Amino acid sequence: MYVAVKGGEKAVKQSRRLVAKMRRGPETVPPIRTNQIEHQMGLGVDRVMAEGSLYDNKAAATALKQAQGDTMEAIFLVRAFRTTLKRFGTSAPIDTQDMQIIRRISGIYKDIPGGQVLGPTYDYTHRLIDFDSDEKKETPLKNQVPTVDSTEQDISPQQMTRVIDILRQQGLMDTASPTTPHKNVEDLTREPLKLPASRSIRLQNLARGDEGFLLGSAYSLQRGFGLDRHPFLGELRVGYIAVKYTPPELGFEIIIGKIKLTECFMINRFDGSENKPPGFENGYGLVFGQSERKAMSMALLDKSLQNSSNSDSKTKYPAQDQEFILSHSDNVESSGFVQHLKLPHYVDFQSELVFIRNLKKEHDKKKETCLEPSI
Amino acid sequence: MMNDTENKMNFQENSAINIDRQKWMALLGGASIKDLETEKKRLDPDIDWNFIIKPEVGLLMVQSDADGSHPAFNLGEMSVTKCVLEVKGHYLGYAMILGSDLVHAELAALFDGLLQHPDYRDDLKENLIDTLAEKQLKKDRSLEKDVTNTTVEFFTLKRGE
Repeated sequence: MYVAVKGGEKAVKQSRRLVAKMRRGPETVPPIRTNQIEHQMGLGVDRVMAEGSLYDNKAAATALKQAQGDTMEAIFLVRAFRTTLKRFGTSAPIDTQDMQIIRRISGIYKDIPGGQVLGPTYDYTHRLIDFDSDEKKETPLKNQVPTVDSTEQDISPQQMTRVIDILRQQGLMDTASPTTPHKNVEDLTREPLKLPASRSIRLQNLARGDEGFLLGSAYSLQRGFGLDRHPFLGELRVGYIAVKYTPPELGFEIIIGKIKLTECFMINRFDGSENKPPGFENGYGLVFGQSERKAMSMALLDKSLQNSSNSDSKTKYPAQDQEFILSHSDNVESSGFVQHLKLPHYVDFQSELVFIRNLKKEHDKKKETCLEPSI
Repeated sequence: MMNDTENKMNFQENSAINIDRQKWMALLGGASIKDLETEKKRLDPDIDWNFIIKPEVGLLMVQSDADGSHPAFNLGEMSVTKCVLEVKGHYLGYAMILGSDLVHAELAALFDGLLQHPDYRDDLKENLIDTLAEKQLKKDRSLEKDVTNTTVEFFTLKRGE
């Protein structure tokens, strides 16, 4: 049992003063502005938004600054912030087919309608630290590499057929099933996680889950802890999507704004069963901002959890186990429980001491009796 | 409650211009505050209005059923700012924009109201909405060009070649 403690106000105040001082660093260095973080640390901001489960660049950037760059602390701040706000409603389901694409690749087809579009990626960089990049010395690469005038390629959404739709047209993948009317969609922020969880809940959980946990779990699948077949990247997309909503006061749909998303389709071979013909199956990932690692991990886990939610399959490894993945994916929860150990446990530990001293006494006594020569 | 119904009726009265409105509302939401402020100054710096709902930050749950093969799910929320105001008698301007900028929501609602007013509509369409649309298009085109330049042709290599 945890017993509360009181006191320490003065020390806490001073600690907060000190952390503010440490955060600011030397006065000779100008302070960072949140809009600099927002625009120049964009991928960090994206991660805070995704796991904070709130698309708000400004809030995420401010949280990152306040947390001294500690991503998880920033995520915690964002989660706390969202609880202070009223929810106006729920958007119309977004249609990623309409995405204004900035990156789109497929690992299974070389020639896809619309082409392979690398967009902004670190995949083909040399991973060498550029120590000359600091302020005045900087010569942005965009000025070194001339832009090309290519007008032949058309990357409009209409041209970018989804790769899984190609497989669907060939009858190699299940066609789309009707979706639930969006009012009835379960919501993790309104009700606690119940197991076994529906796919809606699993996807929501993964979308706001910790990138590191998702990545490690997906990696474990690939290394043989739950996946016996090579998965394929059907498609990965990054781009902007318009969020639409019908305010009840207006009675017609309006565009609220465009948000950046990463979407991933992971394809797995299915050799067929009694009830289902052979074909391919899909794991799905969708994440706020540009976060390819996470979207891909999410898609791998989505597939693995789908498999294990079938009644005939067995759960053998952690990444196949709904309870293991869904209960441990949230980093605000995880870090709260791990870090609560920092709080005073003085009374709890007293009882441990009493217990262990008694045990030791008994142990010593036994030893003594054993040593006594038997007559 | 009565007030709400009245508002709604007032909005729907103008349903003929809803398609136009959808277009300009999206542009006002995507505009820079600087552009909106400049336009307000040009039009009438002293214009005044009554708030029905003062700019208020809230959330919108973003839902997705993207690949169609699964039931819809809640992806996460986004911050939005809502504002409703009455301008020039009975024109109700409405705005709900992405983010938490109160001034932006206020200006977007103001122009939405004014754009419904026959005295302002044509002027604003020409001087504000068309300009915003042009800017947006230019921005989109520029991004599209940068992105298109990264289109890649991969070649599969045969062994031994």
